[in-house]
Formats: sequence, structure tokens, C-alpha cells
Amino acid sequence: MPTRQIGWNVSEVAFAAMYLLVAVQALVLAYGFTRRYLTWRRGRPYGPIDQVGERLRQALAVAFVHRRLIRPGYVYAGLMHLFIFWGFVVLFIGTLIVLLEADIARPYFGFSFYQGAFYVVYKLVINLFGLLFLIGLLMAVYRRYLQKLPKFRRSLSDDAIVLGILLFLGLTGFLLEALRLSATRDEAAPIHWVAYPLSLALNGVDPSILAGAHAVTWWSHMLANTALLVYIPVSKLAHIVTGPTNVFLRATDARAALPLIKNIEEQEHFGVAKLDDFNWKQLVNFDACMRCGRCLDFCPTFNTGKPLKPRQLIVEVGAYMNRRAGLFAGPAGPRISEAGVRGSELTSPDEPSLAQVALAADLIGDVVSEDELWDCTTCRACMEQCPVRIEHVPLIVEMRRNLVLEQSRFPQELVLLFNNLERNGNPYSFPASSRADWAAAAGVQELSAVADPSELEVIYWVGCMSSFDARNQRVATALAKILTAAGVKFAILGKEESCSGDPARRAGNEYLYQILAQTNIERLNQYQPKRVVASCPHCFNTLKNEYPQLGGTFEVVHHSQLIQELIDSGRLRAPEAVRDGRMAYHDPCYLGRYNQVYDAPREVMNRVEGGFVELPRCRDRGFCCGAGGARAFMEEKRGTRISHNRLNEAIGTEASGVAVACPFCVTMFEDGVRALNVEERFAVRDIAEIVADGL
Amino acid sequence: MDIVVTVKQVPDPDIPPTHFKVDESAKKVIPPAGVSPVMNGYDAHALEAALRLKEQLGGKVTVVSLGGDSARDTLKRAIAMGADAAVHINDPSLNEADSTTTARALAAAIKKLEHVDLVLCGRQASDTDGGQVHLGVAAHLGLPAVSPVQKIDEASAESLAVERIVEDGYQRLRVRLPALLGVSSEINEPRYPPLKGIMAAGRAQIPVWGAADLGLDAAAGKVNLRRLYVETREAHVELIEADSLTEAGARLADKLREARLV
Repeated sequence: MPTRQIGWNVSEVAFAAMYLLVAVQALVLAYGFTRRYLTWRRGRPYGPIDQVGERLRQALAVAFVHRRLIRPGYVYAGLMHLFIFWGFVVLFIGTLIVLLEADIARPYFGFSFYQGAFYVVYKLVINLFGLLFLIGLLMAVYRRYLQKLPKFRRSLSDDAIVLGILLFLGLTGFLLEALRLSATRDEAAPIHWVAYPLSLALNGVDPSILAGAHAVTWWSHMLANTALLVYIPVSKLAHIVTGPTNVFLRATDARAALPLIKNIEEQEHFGVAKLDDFNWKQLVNFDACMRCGRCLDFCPTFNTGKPLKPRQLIVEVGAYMNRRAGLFAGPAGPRISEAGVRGSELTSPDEPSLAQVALAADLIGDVVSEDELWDCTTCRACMEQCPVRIEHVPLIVEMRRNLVLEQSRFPQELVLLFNNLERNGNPYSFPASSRADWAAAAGVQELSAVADPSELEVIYWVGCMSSFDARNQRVATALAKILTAAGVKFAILGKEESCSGDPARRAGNEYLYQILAQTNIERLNQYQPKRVVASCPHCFNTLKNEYPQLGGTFEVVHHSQLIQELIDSGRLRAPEAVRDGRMAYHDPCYLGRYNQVYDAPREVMNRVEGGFVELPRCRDRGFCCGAGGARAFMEEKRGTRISHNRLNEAIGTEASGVAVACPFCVTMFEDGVRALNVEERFAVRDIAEIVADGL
Repeated sequence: MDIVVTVKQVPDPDIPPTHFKVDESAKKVIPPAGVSPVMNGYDAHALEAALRLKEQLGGKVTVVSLGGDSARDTLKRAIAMGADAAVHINDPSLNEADSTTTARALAAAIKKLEHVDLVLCGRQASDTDGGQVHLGVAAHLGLPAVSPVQKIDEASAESLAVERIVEDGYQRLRVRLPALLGVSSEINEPRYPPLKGIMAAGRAQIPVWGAADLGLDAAAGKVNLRRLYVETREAHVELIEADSLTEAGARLADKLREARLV
């Protein structure tokens, strides 16, 4: 019957040492993660942790079936990780099975199962997963060191150490098996199908030499295993625990809403100025990162050479956090990276190293620069791609909040924005009383002039851009034409509408946001709208997902959804295409990633234009136009222009222009086509204009 | 260093002029609905300069404004930005005060304050652009005045170094304190108030001083506005018809002569 002698060629002393080492490993693991846990608990309260079942399901799905890891564009990386992960897990279970046989079943129950058919299957399976483990590791070596991806242009020692130890463990595992098979001339050798060819090669060697080599390999395998387990809590391998933990803890409420500062007028301290100002879940984020760099792939600032690189921000604050907690921050931290490698981004060597960052005095200024904080467009590409759901955007907004509400330190352009929002209820210097001027010309009525507002089907929330900006007034006029053509009874708030507060909130001015939001909520509540349609995704997101925090619950749709609905129900006769050549569709971040409205605008394009060009970076992998996060009101001084990057992508296709569904995108791209000198041949149109043209 | 900053509330200068209307019979400018008046821009620069001096040398910043009830909002804004105290001069007899009267009232209020090392004013106000008041205040207080100032440095309790804008450049002067400076916009970027400041401003008690408190006589000088109107420019176009260019030229010459333009 096929089996093997457990502990062949291993002395009693070695066995005792092994058990001692296992105990040491367990203790070090427990100690390391306890220290991390205690570091997190220095943060402010977070919770309650509701929907435990759903959270658990998601955490397990990420860990075991690699949801979020294997997805379009990441098949190689996803499979690579899957092989390493399942190799690791199955080999670990394999070891436990041997322990079960040797230390429990046989000594206590006089029973043995590690033989016969079970043994055959066991060996076939273990060899398979050992091989997958090695394949995964080699794929990882290729990806990090040979594929020359920009995001892996620099690596930390940590990356090499982790791959080195794992490769060593995998190889010595097979070597051990081959040495034993050869030295004992095991008859069942062929079922060890990966180690078997190697054992054949060793068959000519003197058995005593084989036994000696086996003993040396056994010890080195054992010590490498100890090194690995001791290394886990202080390296990126901590993500084995922190990754799923972070997924479990993620914000589940209204996924697109920023956290509300309650009773803001009674607070003494605002946002985050130092580590302890983060809530403890936010601190977990910094330990969950394993530096895969997916946050960079669709990041508008990384891809246009700006200081903000989300991975770097997380890694640096993580090193700073662990160093300050007195923990060895891992080779990602101060000790090994003194060669001047800052994170692993495209940075010049003269930038401060992680060592300096970890010893820095202040979170804002020393670890994270103010430029980094103000660069963010809050487009959510990093959060959408992060396999372990690190929530970058709220971290950045929390630090902006401190700069604005407490320190009054922010780009000069925002002073103008805030003053205008305060005084005029819009980001510009237009008096609030001129807000509905466009509507008079378009024949759209204001709610205050409607005799019985309850007869209205929808209130059209116009937003500042379409109310004041001449280019976007054409979008509002187009939407009004569509609603009229479909026989929808609607009106606008007009002079009673003010900025939704989105740019103030994203820029960190939570107080100004709440003032604007409360005014708007009171107005809307007064009219009890059946439905609100917004043509600006920023307004749409704020009204839909953020006003409920302040007691304003309304049914809000985006104009792309309403237009699709009107066409589907037959109220709007399907408009005719008026254009030769297809346009590309660009996903606005606050419509797509923030609210998962990917299909409605595409459906509208299909009905009206008979199709559209799908851009290479689309849907959840869409690329920002550069306007979000109040960036539309700041100058873009660093790096190249985000809007040009996106436009060049669209121009590179066969598309005759770009269709959007957001006034900010319209403005960014209109400016862009002029700057790139393509305005004659490359159109920028909102989908409402496209539909209205065909009526 | 104890500093007084004078501030004036003005119609929001960022609103395009076309949105304002003029009521000729009431002789008043009517701002568009919902537009609140704001702190005069130059005064905001003066306040910012004062706050930076305070941060550097310690002391107290007091703002003084002459104006109707709504001027309180501007004083609150100043407190939100970081001023320690405010004084509101509000008296019906001082409505429509001219530059001289305004200067006298402000000077009287500043005299009532305990201790003043430095008075900072905006170089002029964006509604009238007179630029007279701050120099009048200096005269009434007997202080040396420098205006317009684009930079303050080397500040100590005894003196300041300042740059005064002149045609084609600037002068560098050392000013012994106490003194008055008329501040120009080149000097700094005024801060946006932090939330704590906004809350403090909400709670702040601002004393209101009338003409009697300041010992001003009621028959103060007033602006006597004779007429307020929007200038209209008329243009006429007359096409000269003629059979030939020569004839057209001759007729044009006649017209111009008639109009005594040639």
C-alpha cells in the first residue's frame, strides 16, 4: 500500500526543534497582528458594523474566489495571485493533514489514514498545487521585474524578499520530496508527479549523500518557513489578514456619500491633521495595501505626472503610522528603503525616502504634501480598482477638511469659489437672481410660477453650470425640449435653486456644503417633488446620496435615465440620428463609478445614433475629465492636462466626437478641443443635445 | 502690537455692473436681488496684513466700521477672519457722511480705544474710489501716514519697513510707530475664515457707538448727491448716397463742414 514514513531521515532533536519553531511562529504572528490592531485602535470610533453576513460574504469572496482580483484587464495578475494563494492554502492544509496523522490519529487513536488511495490522491493534489504555486510565483517575478510596467519601475526590497522566500519554500519542498523518493527508492514515486522526474535524475547519487542533502534541505525549508511566518506581520504579506479585514470593514452605507460631520457648529476640531484623527477603519486602510498599483492604472493624477499617486500616499502614511507606533514598519518602512526609494512610483531619487517620511513630524506637509491633497479629482478610479477596497477619496477629503475648516490653508482659487458660493449660491460671480435667465428664453417655467406644483411629474434640477455657463445652457435647453416633446410636466426651481454643495464638500468645506444643502432641502421639501431629474451628475449624486444624511430624501434620476425611460415607454418617439460617423461615449465619474449608471447613456446612444464608439478606458475603468473634487475651479499647474489625456484617447479612435452626460465634462472637453486645435473636426456633445437634435 | 483696521461695507464688486440698476428719482444704486454687500477688497487686504503682524508680534486687532445696520455682517466677517474685537459706528446722522465726516468719526472711535500702535486702512473703497478717508483719519489722529503700501516687513514694536507704490516703482521707507498705512492689494491674499472663526463671529457682541458717544456734532458734512444716472451714449449712422465715389466724397466733406468737424 502506498504511503511514506513520516519523519524519514529526521532526528528526534530536529522534530523537537520543529515543534518549538512552530510555537515561536504562532507567537510572533499573534504578537505582530496584535500590535497592528492596537495601532488601529488609536483612531477615532467607527461603526456600527452592520450587515455582518454580507460583509463576511464579500471578504471571503475576495479572499477565496478572488472577486475584484480577477476582472477585465487583470486576468494575468488575477490568475497569478490565484495560483499563489491556492498553492499556499492547499500546501498548508497538506501540512496539517500530515500533522493530524502523526500527532493525533496515530498516537491517540491508533488509526492511520495517510496511506492507500487517500495517499495517492493527496500526493497528486499536493504536487499539482505545489506546481501552481511555483507558476504563480514565476508569473509574479515576470510581472514585477521583467514586464517593465511603469507602475513597477521601482520596487522595494520587501517585494524581492517575499518572492524570494516563497520561491525558496516551493523549490525546497519539491527537492525534499525528490531526495526522499530517490534515497528510499520509493515504489510510489510516479504519483509524486512533479518531484518524480527530479528524483529520477538523482537516482545515480550515493544514498548517503542523498540523505545528507535531505537533512540540509529539511532544515533550510524549516527555517525559511519560520522566516516567512515571522515576516508576515511586518511586510506586505500582512495583507493576508488586513486585506480581507479591510473589505469586511468597508463603508456600506450609500456608497457614494462622504461621511457627514454631525453638529458641525459644536465641533472643536475638523477633519484629519494627525493620524489619531482618522477613524480606526481608515487606519486599517494603510495596512491593507500590498502595493499592486491598480489604483494607479486609471488615476488621472498619476497618469498626467502630478504629485498625487494614491499608492504612494497609502504606503507612506502606512510607514509613518507603524513607525510612530513603535513597530518595525517592515522593509516598506525605514530600514531597508534608505537607498532613497520613495514608495515605488515614478519619482525622482531626490525626493524624500520612506525613511524620512516615517520619521517626519507632521502628517500634512511632511508625509502628505498639500499639493497631493489638492490634486485629487475624487474620481474614485483608485477605490474602484483596489482589490481590498482601500477608500482613498474619503481619506483625502478628511485632510482637506482640516486644511479648510481649521487651518484656512488652500489654493487661492478656492477662496473665490467659497466666496461666490456663500454670496451668490453659485461658483461664479453671477447674482442668484439671474439664475433662471436662460429659462425665460427657452420657455421653461419656474416652480414659483406654477399654480399647482403637485401636478408636476418632475422638477428639473438644472445646476449651476447649465444655469450660467452659455455652453451648458444649450444642454439645459435641449433637455427642456426633450421633456416638452415627451409631454412631461416639469418646472425648474430657478432662482430658488442654489449650488448643491458638491464642490464645497469635495474641497473640504463641509460647513458651506451643509448650509447650501439645507437651503436646498428646505426648498425641495416645500414643493414635495414626485421626482427630481438632474443633468449634472455631481448634483445628481449629492441630491441622491448625500442629502438623505441631512433629512432630504428624494427620488432623483439622471437625465440619461429619464431619456431612456421616455424612449422605452414610447412617450418620446425615437429620435433620428442626424450625424454621420459615430461618437465616443465618455463615462462621467459621478454618474458611472459613483452611481453605476453605465448603461442608460449607452442605451440612449444606441437608440438615437445607432451605436457609439467604446473607448479603451470605459465604464468602471473610465478616465476622469479632470473637473471633479472642485478641480474645475482650480488651475491645473502640475503635470500635463487630464482632459487632454482623455481627449487624445478619444481622438485616437475612429469617433467623430465625444458624447458626455455631464456639464463639467462638456466644459473640460470644449476647452480641450480648442487647446488641441481639433474643434473643427471633433465635436463635444451632451447626450441631451444629441437626442434633441434628432427630434 | 495693537492694531486698528478700518473697514467699509460695499456692494459686491464682482457682480457684473449690468446686473445693477439705478433709481434716478431716489438717487440710489439698486443691487440685484439676493446679493449681499461685502467687505471692501482693500480693507480685507489691510485686515490680512494686521492679522499677519499679530501672528508675528502678538497683540490685538480691532476693526472699526462706519455704516448702517448691515455693516455688522462685515464686522462679523472680520472677526471670523481673526480680528479680536470690533466697533460699529452707526448713527442716522452719519448716513451719507462725506469723506471728511467719515474720517472724523473713525478717528474719534480710534481715539476712544485704549492703546493703538498702528492703524491700517484700505487705500480706497471700491464703491466711491475716493481714497480720502484714511488720510483724513491720520490727520485727525496726528499720525504719520504712508499710502499706498504694497509690503510691510522688518516689523518691530517700534517701527516697520514698508514699500510705498509710486509711479514706475516703489519707495522703501521706515515708519516709526504709531502710524497709519493705506494698504494696497499687492500686499497679500486675504484668508478665508476658518470655521472656528465663523462660530466665534456668530457669538461676538459688537458695541455700537453713536455720534454722541464720539462727541461728534450733528451737523456733520454730508454728500449732497445732485443726480445719479447711467450715462447713455448715442450714436447715429448716416449713409451718404451718391452716384459716384467722387460725389460721395464731396457730400461727406460738406456734412463734416456743416457739423464743424473740419
